[in-house]
Amino acid sequence: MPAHPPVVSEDSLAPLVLRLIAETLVIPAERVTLATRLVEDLGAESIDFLDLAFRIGEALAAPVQLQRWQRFLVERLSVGGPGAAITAATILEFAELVRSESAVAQELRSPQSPP
Amino acid sequence: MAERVAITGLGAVTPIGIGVTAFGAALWEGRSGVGTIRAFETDGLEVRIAAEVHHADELDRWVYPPKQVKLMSRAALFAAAAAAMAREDAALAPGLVDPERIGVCLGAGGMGPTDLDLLESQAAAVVAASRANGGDAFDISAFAEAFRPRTNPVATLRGLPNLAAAHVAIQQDARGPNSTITTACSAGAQAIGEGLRLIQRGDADLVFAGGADAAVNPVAVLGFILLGTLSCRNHEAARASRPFDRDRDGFVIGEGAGIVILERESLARARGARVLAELAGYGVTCDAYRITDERPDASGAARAIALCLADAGAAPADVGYVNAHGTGTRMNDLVETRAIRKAFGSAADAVAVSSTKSMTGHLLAAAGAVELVATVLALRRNLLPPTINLDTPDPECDLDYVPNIARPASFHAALSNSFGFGGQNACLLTRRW
Repeated sequence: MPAHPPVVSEDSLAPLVLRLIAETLVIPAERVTLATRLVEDLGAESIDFLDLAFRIGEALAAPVQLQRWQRFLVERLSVGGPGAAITAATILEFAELVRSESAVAQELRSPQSPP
Repeated sequence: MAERVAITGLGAVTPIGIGVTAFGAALWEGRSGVGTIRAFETDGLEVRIAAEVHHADELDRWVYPPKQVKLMSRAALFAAAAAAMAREDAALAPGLVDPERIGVCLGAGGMGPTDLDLLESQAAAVVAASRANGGDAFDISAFAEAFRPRTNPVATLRGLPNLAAAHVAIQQDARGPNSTITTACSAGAQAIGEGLRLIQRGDADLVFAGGADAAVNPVAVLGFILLGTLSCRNHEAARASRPFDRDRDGFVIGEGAGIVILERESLARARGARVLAELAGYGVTCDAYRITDERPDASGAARAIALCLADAGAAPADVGYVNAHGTGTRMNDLVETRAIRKAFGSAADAVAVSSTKSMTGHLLAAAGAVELVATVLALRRNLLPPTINLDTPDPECDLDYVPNIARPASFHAALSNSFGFGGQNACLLTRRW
């Protein structure tokens, strides 16, 4: 069971994403801002990103396809090392994407489907 | 002459105490760690008791950084905590030993859905898969669709049996040989024996060796119920584990971890380590007989004891104490008694034998490791832990089992026996340094 109810408001997902990052990495919430680098500043490792993706999907009630998530991350990797460029803002960008895709998918499903 | 191997640190997470001080106190007191299962609802189960580790959340403080805990199964957390305790006990400061010369060798239980949440998500997915297509056939795509959104990838990772040893290595910066032994109830002892060999053959100078298991979950408990191996004495939990007693009716499942630090003699001397005991011998055999039966003549177990004595260059008369496998099943206790008689010959009547499982329950893959810790504590304190609940002697079990009350005794060497389903037998010999 998620520790908090799903967030479905139209507002920015930033507070949710920052909270999920802190929960995933078991660190105080005040250590995470949008500019925080997850690997370099917070010691995140690859399994933490999978955990985070799952938590985002759970919170948005929109399960994340892991291949999709990994492609998103790989596209943002810098030459400076794995994950060096991934900040909390990157995660927010992904969460916004998941939410908008989920909304589109729901709109497509909501009209009466043809038989 | 080859260098000896020293035991320089002990760590224990057990149902009767966390840390060797608490564990030792409970052993001398003869306290049972068995109680009604708290981990899950047991309505409808024939067995509703186990020896659980309570307050396991207190173990988190041994793990760094805190987020590592979520990556650990309960057994891995026990192992990581016991390893950190052992390191502290050994006063092994960072940088004292080259990390590339530090090994890890652990006994671990089977993989599978050890987390209740993972079990629940699998169950929900199975229901979905069975109902799809009108219930005609199990539908894998329906299973996947139901499983995926319910299952955090971290939960699937926690079930891998090799990860306890990996976590210990990460926590302790142990970059040398790292292995996991899964010979069920003999795994903990075998891991310590193989750790001894790592040092003897020069592959490592210091080894974190031991075992961890945490199988108080519905799947494992039901499995052992089906196999008919568990005590059903639900109404008097503290008296359920009664090895060598005439009225024994099976073992009590338990959980925990034991870790010992094994160290090459020259290293221990060079750093001025306090040596607790020598790990002097290891014997390992297999019955190669029947999966859940021991050879009735006890030859497999007796040979493990004899090989262990020979490995240590010890005679039966040198051994003052045997920490028995002593599970409390009818067959184990009979066959183990025969094995000790066979291996010890005329010295069998003089040796004290006790089963600390009477207090801890059966810690499965951790059993042999926790019992070696108990054996070293007995050697250090000149005090034999009792076999509690030994009220009515079994005429066929006719050794000195140190019934019910701890007994002062001074001895030079001690054995610890471990025998597993599948016929795997392991025996360790420790003696005064």
